[in-house]
Amino acid sequence: MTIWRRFLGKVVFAINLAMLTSVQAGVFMLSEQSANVITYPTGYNGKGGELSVTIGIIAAPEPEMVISTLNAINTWNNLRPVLGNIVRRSNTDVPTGQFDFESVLLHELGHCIGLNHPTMSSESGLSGADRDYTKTMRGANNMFDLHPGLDGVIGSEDDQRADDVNLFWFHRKSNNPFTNAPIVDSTSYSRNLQDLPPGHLFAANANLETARLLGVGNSEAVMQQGIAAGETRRALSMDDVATLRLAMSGFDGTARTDDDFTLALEFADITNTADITIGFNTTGFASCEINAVEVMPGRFVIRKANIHLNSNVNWHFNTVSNTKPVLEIAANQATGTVDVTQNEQLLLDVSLMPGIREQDSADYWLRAETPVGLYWLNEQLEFVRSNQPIRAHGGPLVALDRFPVLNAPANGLPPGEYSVTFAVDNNQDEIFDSSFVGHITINVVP
Amino acid sequence: MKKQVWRFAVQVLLLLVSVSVSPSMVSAADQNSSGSMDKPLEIWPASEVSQPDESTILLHYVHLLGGPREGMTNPSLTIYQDGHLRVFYPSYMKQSGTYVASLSPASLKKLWRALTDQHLLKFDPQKVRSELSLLQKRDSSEQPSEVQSKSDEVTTMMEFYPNRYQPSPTLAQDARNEKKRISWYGLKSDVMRYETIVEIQLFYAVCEQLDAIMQSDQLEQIP
Repeated sequence: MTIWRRFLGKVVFAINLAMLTSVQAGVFMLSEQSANVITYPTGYNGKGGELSVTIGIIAAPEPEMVISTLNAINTWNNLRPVLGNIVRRSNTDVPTGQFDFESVLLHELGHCIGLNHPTMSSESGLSGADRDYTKTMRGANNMFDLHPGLDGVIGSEDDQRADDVNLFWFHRKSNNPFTNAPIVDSTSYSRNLQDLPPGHLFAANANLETARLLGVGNSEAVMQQGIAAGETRRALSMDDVATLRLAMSGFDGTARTDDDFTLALEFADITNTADITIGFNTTGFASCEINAVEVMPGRFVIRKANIHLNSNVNWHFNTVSNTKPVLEIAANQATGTVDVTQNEQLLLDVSLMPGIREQDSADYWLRAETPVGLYWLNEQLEFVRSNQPIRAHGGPLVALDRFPVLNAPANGLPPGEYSVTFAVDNNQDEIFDSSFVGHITINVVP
Repeated sequence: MKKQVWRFAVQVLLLLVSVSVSPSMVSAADQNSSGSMDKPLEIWPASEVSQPDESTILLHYVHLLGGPREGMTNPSLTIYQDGHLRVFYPSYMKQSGTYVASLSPASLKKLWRALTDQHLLKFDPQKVRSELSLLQKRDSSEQPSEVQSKSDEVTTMMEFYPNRYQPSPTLAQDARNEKKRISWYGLKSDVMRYETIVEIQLFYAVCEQLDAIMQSDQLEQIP
């Protein structure tokens, strides 16, 4: 009962956050040219509508990189921000000594469509945690002024930055980098610190520490520089989405006008003539190089962009497409077919990676075919005997990471085979469709 | 035209540096040997593998990669007083491991001459960055439309001890441990973009040699 309430609680929490959140913007490439820069993807000419940008692979040393590339493209095209996008699962599909290609490519693609680091990052020459301060240029004193303020958290609203010139576009009403506004343009976002909410001293950015401060742990802008080996960051944060949406408001910086555009990244397969190319070399880690033209003061349009990744890095290539949710159910941390003796404890947990379907309406089901009949988990977290499906929950698709749904001694279970299915539907009609499933077989032995 | 003159002047200076000798660092007998940095340094297989003595480090060179989170290890090279060297590649790289080799005495001497050039010893990255900002503003006012930018570049970091090569027994311990640190983000891009900035041209010339060491086929992996 308690466990299921926690499960539902987490889902409801995620829904509430998704509804309450407002998109927070960041920084644009070429902001070193002047503070007010907005940089637009290749091909934008001030005309509204769909803007198609092609992405090609110069050479594919690893065939698997195509799936990761398609996933990163899907993620930018869908523009769905999530909380908790940093995943460091103990059984993650990314081994400790490898970097997740998809996460790194997602970051570099962001640069190639005009987004910059929201924080000072390595290009500032700063080191350590100082790199997490909100991105600025030096002020009149020709130095970076860095003080975390009373909360001691770098990159938060009370940072004291003296005369540093802010480059970060913040939400005027909230200055919260993990919240959502229906309209993202220069009327709702600003770089001018005078537009901060009362009491705020500086623009807050979406780094891990500010996320913790704001109670949304394991969340970070994809455009934040730096990822750990064995870690994934395959979903966008509010900050990433808002920065792009700000550009999508067009040259006039006003949403819902004729020059607004939507971005459609298109995979062009193996080619070196695409707007954005992806290739490998043997230096550095990963980077995006852009050529851009200033078409009007402070408005740059990217002409060509090239991503290079170091082939000497141990890359992990995700082999699972993000167009469909991936479900997993584990018994005592094992999957597939698992033997459990009656004198053991049985821990059953479920994981769900929604992919680009995050927040889609869904029904959740947990069904157990047992030696003593068919059981379903109901909304009160009780396994009940029923030959008719019983829904566990209806609501949006959210990420679940090894969430425990049963933790009990196995001596209460009759010996035999238990076939357990975790399913979600691609609708919320209370009819068991089992659109996407995860399955496990448990053999309870004396 | 002005740029070409500058380029020529920098090339002349690089040539002069390559054959010049810093008197306080190199003995008179060494002064006749050629010190050109345009030839690769001579690397020998390590004759023996001993525990490195930190107090004899001459130079530590690191590629601080832009992508990994802060705090993760990076590829590095350490050169010791006797010419022994160690190259380290972190676990997330295909070459993962520690490798050893040795610089020939002549190559070590040549490297040392380049390192102890006054331009490098007095290299103040922050000051040079300011100069570059001015150049950048001038360039953008001359050619306002076309610009380039590159994300997540490598920060090249070099630390060396100018007083440790052939140290004098009378040298005070403090002087012996005096360290020069140079750190530069996006070195290769800036070298191509700003051909008139002597310091970064010289720094890059040395770094190219160190990069060649890190990729040498004479390196031997140790357990």
